[in-house]
Amino acid sequence: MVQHGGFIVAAFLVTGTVLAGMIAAVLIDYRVQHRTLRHLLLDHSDSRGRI
Amino acid sequence: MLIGSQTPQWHGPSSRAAVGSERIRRLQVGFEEIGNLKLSFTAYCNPGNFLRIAAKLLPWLWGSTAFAFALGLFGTFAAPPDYQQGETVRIMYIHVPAAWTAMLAYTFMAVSALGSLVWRHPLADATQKAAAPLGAAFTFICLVTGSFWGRPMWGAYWVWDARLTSVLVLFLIYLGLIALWQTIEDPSRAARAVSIMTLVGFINIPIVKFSVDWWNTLHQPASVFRMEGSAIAGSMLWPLIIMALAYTLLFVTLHVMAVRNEIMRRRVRRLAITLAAAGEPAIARMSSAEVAS
Repeated sequence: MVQHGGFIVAAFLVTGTVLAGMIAAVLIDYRVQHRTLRHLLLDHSDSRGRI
Repeated sequence: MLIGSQTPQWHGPSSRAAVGSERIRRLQVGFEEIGNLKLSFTAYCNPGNFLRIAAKLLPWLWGSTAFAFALGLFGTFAAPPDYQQGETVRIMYIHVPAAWTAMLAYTFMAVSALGSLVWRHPLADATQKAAAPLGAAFTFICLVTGSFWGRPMWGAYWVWDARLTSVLVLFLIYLGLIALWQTIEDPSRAARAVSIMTLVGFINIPIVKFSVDWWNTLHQPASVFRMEGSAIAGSMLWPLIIMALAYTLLFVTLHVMAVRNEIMRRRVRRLAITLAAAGEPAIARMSSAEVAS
């Protein structure tokens, strides 16, 4: 049994969760912005793609 | 008086004039080169060009980040245990790079704030806005992992030590900057206010770095970046350096993505305002969160 194993596991778990959360947040934000922009451009542009 | 083929050999003013004109020509060439450099830098800072370059860069950044993390984590668990800390030293491989990246992110934000205030460049606004949540997350990792290391090593999760307190202040500054971005609706006005606060808050970065030298602290002094060289054994130093590289690459990758998101968010906002001004009823379908910057 590794001494202080619980603290080591907890530290790595927190780090992994925060890093994964950061990645997920940036990816979700990209998806939201991309979808909104596409929605605006498709709904309001003419045949030449101009607003 | 000149006689026959004797011609005056002037080495004075005419040759000096030639040297002078040559110097002027060289200076002109130099200025042109500087001008071209400035033009190319400006072109890179154009949001449209940034999006194109980011699209090409991102797969390489993701690949190198994943590779660096795989190598760094292997090194973290392959490195020998410390003679005093034992296995707990492994927390250092995720704690120290988080601290470095948190300070790097803030320094980057301060440079962007300068660009925002001096040149009023929209990309500088976007870069500092995108860096703040990332920097806050790395500071949070640093604080939490430090606590998990401190409990078995110092006997306490937290002590009001100069280093710990200054990092906590850094975290609070990050939160304050994020809140300030959300408080002011107009992005350019928000950028000016945030830039001033960022530059004022930059005073904390040297305090974080040198707190262990200026005050008698429980936190150990610098052991990697020292005038006398690193105090860490090579077998432990290399995994630490690779993990620091992995964290930095992750920050750069996420930052490029977040700046891209910010540029898109501003385009959405501009489009929404344009359509609303044109009396488009369809704009009502969008949620306020989608329109808000």
